Amino acid sequence: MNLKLNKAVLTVYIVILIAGTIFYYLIPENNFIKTSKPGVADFEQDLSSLSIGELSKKYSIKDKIIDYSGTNLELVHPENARVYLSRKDTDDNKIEIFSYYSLHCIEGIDFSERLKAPEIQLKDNRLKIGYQYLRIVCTKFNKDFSITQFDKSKADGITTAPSNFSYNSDIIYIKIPKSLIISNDNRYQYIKIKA
Amino acid sequence: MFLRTEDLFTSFKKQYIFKLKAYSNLFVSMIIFQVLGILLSLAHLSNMGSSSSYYSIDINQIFTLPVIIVSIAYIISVSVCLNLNDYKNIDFIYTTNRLSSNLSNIAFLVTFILFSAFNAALSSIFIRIIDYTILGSSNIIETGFFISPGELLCSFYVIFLYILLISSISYFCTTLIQKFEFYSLGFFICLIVVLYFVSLTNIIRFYISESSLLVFSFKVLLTSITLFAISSVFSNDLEVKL
Repeated sequence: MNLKLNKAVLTVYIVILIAGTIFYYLIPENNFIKTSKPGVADFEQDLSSLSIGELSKKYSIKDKIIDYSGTNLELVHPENARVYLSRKDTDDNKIEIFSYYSLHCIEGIDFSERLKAPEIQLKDNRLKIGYQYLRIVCTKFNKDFSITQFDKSKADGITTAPSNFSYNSDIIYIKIPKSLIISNDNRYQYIKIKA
Repeated sequence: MFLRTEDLFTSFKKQYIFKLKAYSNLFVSMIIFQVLGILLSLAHLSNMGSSSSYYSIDINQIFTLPVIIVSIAYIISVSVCLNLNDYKNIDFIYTTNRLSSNLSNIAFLVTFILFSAFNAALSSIFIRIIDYTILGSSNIIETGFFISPGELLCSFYVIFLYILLISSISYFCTTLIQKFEFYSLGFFICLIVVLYFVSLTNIIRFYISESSLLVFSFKVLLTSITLFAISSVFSNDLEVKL
């Protein structure tokens, strides 16, 4: 009886493991957090050569358009964000704000796409740009020694991850009407991104 | 004196089948230990992360190593127990000698190790499925999650070899203690002195730093077969039960 019970337990356990393995190999690979993303050097280059449409395809981008009819504006934003300005050819009373998220990379995983669009407030001739706090919790599996000991790429010191940790400040690109005066504009660089 | 004689193979086969049935509880116990290992793996014992004034990222790292560790620990205890007198005397239900007893012990151990290694390898998949079911794919980093069938097979084989190696060492040590009962303390002092001079880390590195699976297999199999063979020779000299 005891032997029969033991056999039953062993059979059930092994069947569960094998069924789990079959299910595992049917899991689709999409939706997982992936690793490949361009680094900041490419991003700087792309900023001057690509159009806004092309940039939005390649990078995480959030944009917002605000109506503003005033003549003066003061910009307030996080210290670590680099802000670039661009003056339009017309006075259309619209301020267009584009936030580009560059590389937020930990253990070779790029979290840039998950970052939320910045909060934008316009009050008393003051445009305030602030990032929304974001908390990301995720899981990483480590292959154990029985696989990695004979992994040639690890043995040769080659890793697929670009770096263990890298973070680059974000870029905010603001298109302002032709005649709008930015009160503290000596802090900013004017560039022109293709429409 | 026995009323009938049996050749070595028949005797070995009977004892082996008998042990598989008599020690079936050990297989169930191994499952319980491995389930505990799975739970330990799921406990997210390690994490890392980064934060700034506007974001925080926490990465829970999952290692499937606990399942392998508990399997190895349990196999060591089984290897030791099989060599104890209480367990050895069970062999005398059948017509037997020390050699057939040892061979059946080793065959049982190898079967048990195959079972444990198979389950340990598949457990690493099972842990992934549990987390996938609970967290969903959008919260899991792709790198490290997917194991190819080739890697799974390799994992099973390597776990088998490691457990076999450790099992043969513990079986060998138990045999030595039984043979040199009065000198066992002296033996272990000598062993510690030898290990101190040879350096235990060098011996461990001899196995774990090997990057060729073929060479690693050769090293482990040669060591295990040698240790099991010496154990058999030593236990042949032990007194016969009448």
